[in-house]
Amino acid sequence: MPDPITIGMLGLLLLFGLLILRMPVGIAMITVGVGGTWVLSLVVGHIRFVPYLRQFKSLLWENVANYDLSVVPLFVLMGYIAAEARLSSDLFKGLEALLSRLRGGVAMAAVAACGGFGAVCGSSLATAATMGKVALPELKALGYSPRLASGALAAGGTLGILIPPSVALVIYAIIVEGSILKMFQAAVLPGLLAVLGFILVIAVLVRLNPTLAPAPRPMEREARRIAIRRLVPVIAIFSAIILGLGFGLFTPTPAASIGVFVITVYGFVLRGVTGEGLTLSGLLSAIRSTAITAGMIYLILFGAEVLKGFFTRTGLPQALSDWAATSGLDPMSVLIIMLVIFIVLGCFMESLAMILVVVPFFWPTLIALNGGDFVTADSAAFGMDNDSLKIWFGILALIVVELGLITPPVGLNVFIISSLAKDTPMATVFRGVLPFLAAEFVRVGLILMIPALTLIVPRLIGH
Amino acid sequence: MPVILGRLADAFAVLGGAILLIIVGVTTANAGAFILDRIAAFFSADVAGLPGYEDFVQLMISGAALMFFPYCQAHRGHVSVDLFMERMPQVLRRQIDRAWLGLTAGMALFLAYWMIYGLIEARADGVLTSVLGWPVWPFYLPGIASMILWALVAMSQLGEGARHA
Amino acid sequence: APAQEVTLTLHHFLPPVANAHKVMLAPWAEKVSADSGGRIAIEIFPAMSMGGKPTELYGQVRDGTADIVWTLLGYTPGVFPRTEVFELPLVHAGSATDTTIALNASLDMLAEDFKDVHVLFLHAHDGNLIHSATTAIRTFEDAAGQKLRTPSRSGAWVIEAMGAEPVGMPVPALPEAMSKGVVDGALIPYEIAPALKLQELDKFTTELPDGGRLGTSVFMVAMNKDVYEALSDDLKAVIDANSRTNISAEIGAMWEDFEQGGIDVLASAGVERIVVSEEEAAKFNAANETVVGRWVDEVTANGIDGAAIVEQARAAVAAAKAGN
Ligand code: NA
Ligand code: NA
Repeated sequence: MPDPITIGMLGLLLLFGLLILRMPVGIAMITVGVGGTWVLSLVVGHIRFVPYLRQFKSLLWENVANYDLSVVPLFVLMGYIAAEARLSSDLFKGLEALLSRLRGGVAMAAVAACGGFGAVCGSSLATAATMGKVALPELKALGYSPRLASGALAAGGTLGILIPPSVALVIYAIIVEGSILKMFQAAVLPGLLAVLGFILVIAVLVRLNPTLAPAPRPMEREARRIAIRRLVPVIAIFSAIILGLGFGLFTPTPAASIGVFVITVYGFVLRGVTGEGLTLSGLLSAIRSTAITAGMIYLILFGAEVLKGFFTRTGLPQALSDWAATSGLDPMSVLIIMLVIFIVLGCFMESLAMILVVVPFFWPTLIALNGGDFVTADSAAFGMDNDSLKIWFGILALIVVELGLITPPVGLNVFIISSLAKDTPMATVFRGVLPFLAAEFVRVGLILMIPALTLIVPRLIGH
Repeated sequence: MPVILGRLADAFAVLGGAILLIIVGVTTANAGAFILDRIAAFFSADVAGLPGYEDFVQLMISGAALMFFPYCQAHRGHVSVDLFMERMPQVLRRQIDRAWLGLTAGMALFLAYWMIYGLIEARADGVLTSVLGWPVWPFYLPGIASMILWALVAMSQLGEGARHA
Repeated sequence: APAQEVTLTLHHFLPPVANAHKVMLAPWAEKVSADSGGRIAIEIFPAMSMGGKPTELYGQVRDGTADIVWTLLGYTPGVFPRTEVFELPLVHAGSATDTTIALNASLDMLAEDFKDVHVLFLHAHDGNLIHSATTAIRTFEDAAGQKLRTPSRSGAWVIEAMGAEPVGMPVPALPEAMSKGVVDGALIPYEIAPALKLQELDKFTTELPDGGRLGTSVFMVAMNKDVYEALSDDLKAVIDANSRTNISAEIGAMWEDFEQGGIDVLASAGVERIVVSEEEAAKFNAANETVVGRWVDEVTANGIDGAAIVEQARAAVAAAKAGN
């Protein structure tokens, strides 16, 4: 008979097998969790299967009846309403008006708008889809090369996951029992760094190969005036949400609620004044989209809870962290190996599922390597206490997880952009994304070498 | 999928969305009271927030979250990984897709079955929320209904062609 | 040594760095194992690692999902209507030892609350006091209008009786809520202050004279009934020797000691420790007496003789105090 740890490893393999066979992620997690515990109960005397099953009386309900998690559907709803109320379009048009004098300026505006929209939207896929819909036709009409246009938008879409608010950051904070707010604050600088990096990539590309972008054609005066006038309230709303969150006027759930409220009211007012804005059917359609996204997220979260119960009972996470603590491995190398594993898994796994499956294994290992539960910053292997490590590792993990959205063979952002730009083949989008990917690796390197990039904002605001 | 199931799933989703909007309304009012309280503090006055606000959000979100599941299933929104299966013959893809739909329906019924016991137990125990003191058991009802509807939607999809097939 | 016969799982809600894990649960598990000559092994799962929310621990031990749990009775308000009496101010006077001894000595009176599990022991912490990030509460009137995080259902009544406003939230959310001014403070013991870094947020703490506190919380370590019954008599005897009144004084003293760590951390951060005057304490206690009355009225409406329970609980606490 195999020992419990072996059963745990077989369970992990089975999980990946079922995922490859296209079993829905949440269902696969529950199947392996319940099935694995059944197998375990045959081998381990004190694990009894029927008493285990009885916890399902309350497990699902208690899992969703969670105040902290309520920010997730609210942030998702906020993003969809902002898109329906055409805030995404106003944002892009306004930035275009500001940047269209530069060569490649409209592509830069698209990337910057992705970053801005990321500030009301918690998901990369939604950011890519929304901004792709708004900006791709414009870029095409202006004569931008499909490679640059689609690459910029697929890469820009990844900003949604890091720039706060972010569903993935909320969930990471909840699994490592960290502060959602601190994670949001820590993500601000790395997020801005990404926007700047992408804009720089566009500037360099069009300098090297001027045929990628058309000669700059400044917008006509009146159109420019209107675009900038409509940009102002959008920027005001988005900054209010970011600042309200970051500087702690509100805790996350109230911030998300107020965000939804303000954007909805603004959308209806805009409709009343200009005839373009939020309609009732737009609101309903935002709600339906939220049902799909939030339903998917909640199922995966519940799956992760079931899976956790199984893995804990096998003793696998504990064995891994004990092994790491006694192996004498170099902590920094282990951290880098973990990030590489994220990138490799990201090639075919959904980002949220990845965080939920992998972080519970990696996090205790990192604490063990750092010097254990009681370590202080002076004696810690990473030179920081566990609270800071939590933040730093979370941001690094989130960035490399988001890279999976634009790496072949499966890059969900690339799929979305290529389905929006019907005449641009997927291979072209993947090629277009490559230079942006290079910028991302530079960013990961910077954040690895300079932890202050992530830690300084929460530290400054915290005191 | 029978039209009635599609409509029901849609109604559940919209109702779940309406619950989210209620949370938005209550939270905005609560935050408004909080801001007023901050202002009133300058005049040594107090404006009460809504007591039990967290309890309220927790109960409301438990309904909304699970009510999204059937609509999500109806639109095949529960994510899966498309890497390897794309290259398999269509017959195989359809069979595997059906197997997963069957498993999904079974799992939804499994959850509904245990949640019914959960409701009975929460009622017998007299479990209350901590500040509002509301009984918890009625809030199991939307979840149980959602699980059953989720199972029905998944079963009805068994008859349809495989996704992407 | 004889071969290991039984492995028991112990599930609880705090991380392994917490006092409750390090000082109470892990040594208790080792002692049981040693006393059994290695025939009982206890595997501890901290921080809800077996799955579920802390509110589900009671259900898990009742159903046997976990063999033993450590849980807070307040996680499932309404489920332990009688035992709640020991959380009330003026029943719990401010000593973890006295209340813990009284709790375990009163298990017969409380039997109806615990008919579905085998209680290993009950305990209380040393008692709630007011932590404030904004206001120095020196008089009863100073407390009016404060927004305070409530530790429990009866804690909310204590806050209301002071003319303050109870806010419910999980403990981990408290530091953020205090730093944002969502609440002015909280009704919690000293023990938890270092874990929540309250030394960075508190400006004042307010307690009653002579170690008097504003109520407490009751915790239990309980075992699944069937699992307990299935043990051989000699192993039952090992468990019993490490249960209830046999260890209640020791466990209570532990929780009194935990306070000192919190008191020291707050003192070195310059947090002012206010002990109200006897005159003001009389006003707090008058308000607290209405809380006891409210509790009696409520349980009496549910067919429980509240007045008799209050009387017996007070007698048990007094007896424990006299015995110390
Ligand atoms: Na975002
Ligand atoms: Na990928």
